[in-house]
Parts: sequence; structure tokens; C-alpha cells
Amino acid sequence: MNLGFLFAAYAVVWIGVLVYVFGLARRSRNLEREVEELRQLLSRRQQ
Amino acid sequence: MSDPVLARHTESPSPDPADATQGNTAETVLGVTTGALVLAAMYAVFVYVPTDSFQGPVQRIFYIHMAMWLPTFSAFALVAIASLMYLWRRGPGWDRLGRSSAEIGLLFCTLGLATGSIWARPIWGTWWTWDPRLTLTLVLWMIYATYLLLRTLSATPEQGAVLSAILGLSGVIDLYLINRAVYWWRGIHPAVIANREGGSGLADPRMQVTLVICLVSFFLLFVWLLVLRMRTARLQDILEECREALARGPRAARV
Amino acid sequence: MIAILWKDLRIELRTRETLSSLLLLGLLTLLILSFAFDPASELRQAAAPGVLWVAVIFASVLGMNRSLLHEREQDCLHGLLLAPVDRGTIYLAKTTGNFVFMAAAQVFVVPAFIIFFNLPVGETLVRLLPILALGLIGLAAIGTLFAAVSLRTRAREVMLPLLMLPLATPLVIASVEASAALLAGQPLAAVGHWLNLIGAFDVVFLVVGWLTFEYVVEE
Repeated sequence: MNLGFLFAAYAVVWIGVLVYVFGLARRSRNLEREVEELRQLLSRRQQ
Repeated sequence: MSDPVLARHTESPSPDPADATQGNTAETVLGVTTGALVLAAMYAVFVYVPTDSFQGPVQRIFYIHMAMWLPTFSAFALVAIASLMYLWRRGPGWDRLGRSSAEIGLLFCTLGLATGSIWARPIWGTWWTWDPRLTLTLVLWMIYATYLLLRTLSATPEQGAVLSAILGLSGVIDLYLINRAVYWWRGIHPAVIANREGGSGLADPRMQVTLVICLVSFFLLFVWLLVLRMRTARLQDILEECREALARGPRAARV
Repeated sequence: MIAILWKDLRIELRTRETLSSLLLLGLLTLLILSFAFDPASELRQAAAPGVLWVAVIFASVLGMNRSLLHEREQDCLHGLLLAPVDRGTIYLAKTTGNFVFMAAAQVFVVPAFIIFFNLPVGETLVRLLPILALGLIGLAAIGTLFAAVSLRTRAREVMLPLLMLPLATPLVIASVEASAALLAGQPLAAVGHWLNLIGAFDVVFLVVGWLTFEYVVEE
């Protein structure tokens, strides 16, 4: 039976989407952290 | 010695937390709805809909495969619009829309091509054919992959924005010509596959319902991902601004 | 515009760098592709138009890169930009210049092609001329625009073909198909739709290039 292909197709989609979402979440967290660091740096500079 | 950019980012409260809170509610609602619909779609595909009599269980790939295209083409349409608007108005929001849409559009396009290929193998006996639609999609994939690469490799982000906007526009303008060329090309040589996908065979109304649920849920998924990506893009832009301000700061003392 | 065109041509006539690059690359591609096919097989004849156009495209892509890179090194572009010339005009001038160079290179490549593939000389030349002309215009139009774009990236040599070729799909398909038909003896009228497509492509990209060149070269 071709169930292997059926499973593969849905696995590909799910894995693809989840990898992207988690990647995005990670990027977002890193960016937020960096922005916060830079903000602190800037405010210290201004003082 | 006040750099307006510095001021904007160090004032407290900075505008962003406020945005973020409001944004979060809408986002969460969207996310939850999307999740629910996608789960419903999965149920529909695996439990609700009957097995196709010709192709067997593998035919169920059809639903998710088709669901990949609406997001793909919507995303690319957005890229085209964003490119045009960016070149015209230079609003950074347009640039963000461009790169967010391109990224997510590329994701769905890749998944579409992958699911199509996986479906084709058992049904048609081949991983790939030079069917006009497939060829067109492949060319499109290349154009948008290059769009993202161009941004990455540009000397500065501003230039990246302009250059990729030009590419985005060129791509959409070229679309019609590519379409014509590819269809004529495949018209001349005999089709490898005599009978394309059983798209006409949606006899059972349950199949139609399932298809619609899948289309809607994955389109919503696309919208949700886009919203998330846009937020990250905004963060990227803020970061870029801060970095530039920092680089300017020490030297722009008396300006 | 004539002035800029003339300038490009004069520089080229003196150095001949771009021309020789185009020429040699075209011949080299032709040679290597000839190795790819067994000389005795029928496949070879059938593949002939494809081989020709791969050689033309490959040479054009690389030659275009060279000429703009050369320009960048000499910093001529900055000089040009300082002058009160419409950016679109600069684009048109450059495109015409590139077209002339590519055409000049093909003067040598096409005969080589005829010889390697054992085709009737006079007929082939006459039949292929319109396609070659139209195709080269398109390649020049899209190539000049995207060569300028790729100059502003960190991976110049790689970007140009990546940018040009997917977009040039209609040009490639139409040129090869039309060439194949014409070489098989069909009249020009039979490939009218392909010619229209190439023509449309040419017009589209000349216009796009003309309109957007200023955005590409802005600082």
C-alpha cells in the first residue's frame, strides 16, 4: 500500500511548518534580547 | 546632544510594549483559531472523508497539497504589491511585508512542491514531470528564493530593500510571459503523463467539504505566520536603527 | 545617449577585454557541450539549438558581469552619475553597448556552431538571424539591469546568473524552440508566436530596466 507516501507527505508539511514556527520564535527571542541590551547601552550612553 | 533615534528607543515607556500587548491578544486569538481549524482539517482528511476508490488512501495527500497553493500565490501577490509600494513610497512597512511574505510564500511553495512530488510518485510513477504548472511553480520558487538571497547578500539593508523590490516587481511582470512560454513549450511535446491529477473526480460532497476546510485552515495558518513574521521584522528594523544610532552616537556629539 | 554608447564602444575597441571574454566563453561552452553528446547519435542534432543557446546565454552572463565589474573598477559609473544625464538613458546606452558586444561575439560563435554540428551554412545563418537578434536584445536588456543590481551585492558573480536566468525563462524557452523549428526548415511564420513572446519580453525588460535603473544606482 502507499501509506508510506501518505505519511511522508503529511510529515513533511507538519515538520516544515513546525520547524519554521520554532525557528521564528527563536529568532524573535534573540532579537528581543538584543534590542533590550542595546536599549540599555544607549540609555547608559545618554546619561 | 540628542539623537532622535536614541531618544526614541531609550524613553520609557518605549512605544513597543504597548503595541506588543495589544498585538498579543489579537495574535493569540488568531493563533488559537488557526490551530483549531487545522486540527479540524486533519480530522476531516483522516477520519471524515471517505477513501478515494481510484487512488486509494494516498489520494488524501491531495487535500493538503492543494491547500499549499492559496498561501503561496497570495504571498507572492503580496510581495509584488509590497515591492511596488516600496519603490513608490519607501515606507519601511512595505519592505517588511515584502520580506515576510516572500519567506512564508517560499515555505508554502516548497511544501507544495514536496507534497506534489510525494503524491506523484505512487500515482504517476515519477517524482517529477515537466507539466506546465509544475514548471511554472519551480521557476517561481527560484525567483523568490533569489529574492531572499539578494536581501541577505546586499551591501546594506536599505539597498537590499530596493534591489529586491526591483526583483519582486520584475518577477511579477515576467509571470505572464513565463506562463505563456511554459504552456506553449509543453503543448508541443507529448505529455509524459496522459491524465493529470484526479482533480475533476471530487464526486463525493464530503471530499469537497474537506478540501474547503483544508484551504481555509491553511490560509489562516499563512496569515498567522505572516503576522508573527512581521513582528519579528519590526524587531529587526528596530535593532538596525539602534545599531546605526550607536555607531553614529560617539561621533555625532555636537551635531 | 549616443555619447555614452560611443564611450563604451571606444573603450572596448581599445581593450577588447569584454569581447574576447565573450568570444572565448562562447566557444568553450560550445566545445564542452559537444563533448556531452555522442557525435554519432541523433540526440546530438536534436540538441543543437539547445546547445547553441546555452553557449550564448552562458557567455552573455559572464561577459556582462565582466564589463560592469570593469566599469566599477574604473569608477566610470560615478562619473556618469555626476553628469546630468537621465538614468534611464544610461541604462539604454549600456544595454545597447552590451548588445553590440554580444552580437560581435556571436559572429564567431555561430559559425563555430555551424561547423561543429555540420549544418548547412547559408540557410542556417539566414534562419537563425532574427531569433538571435531578438534573443540577444532580451539578454542585453535583462542582463544590464541585473548586472548593475548584482554589483551592489557581496557575491557578484553568483548573483547575476541567479537573478537573470529564472526571469529569462520565457526567452530561453522561446529562443530554443523557435531555433529548433527554424533549423528544421519551418518558415518564419510558423514560429510567429515564439517571436512575439521574445519581442514582448524584450520590450517589457527594456521598459522595466529603463524605469528602475535609477533605483539601482542610487546611493
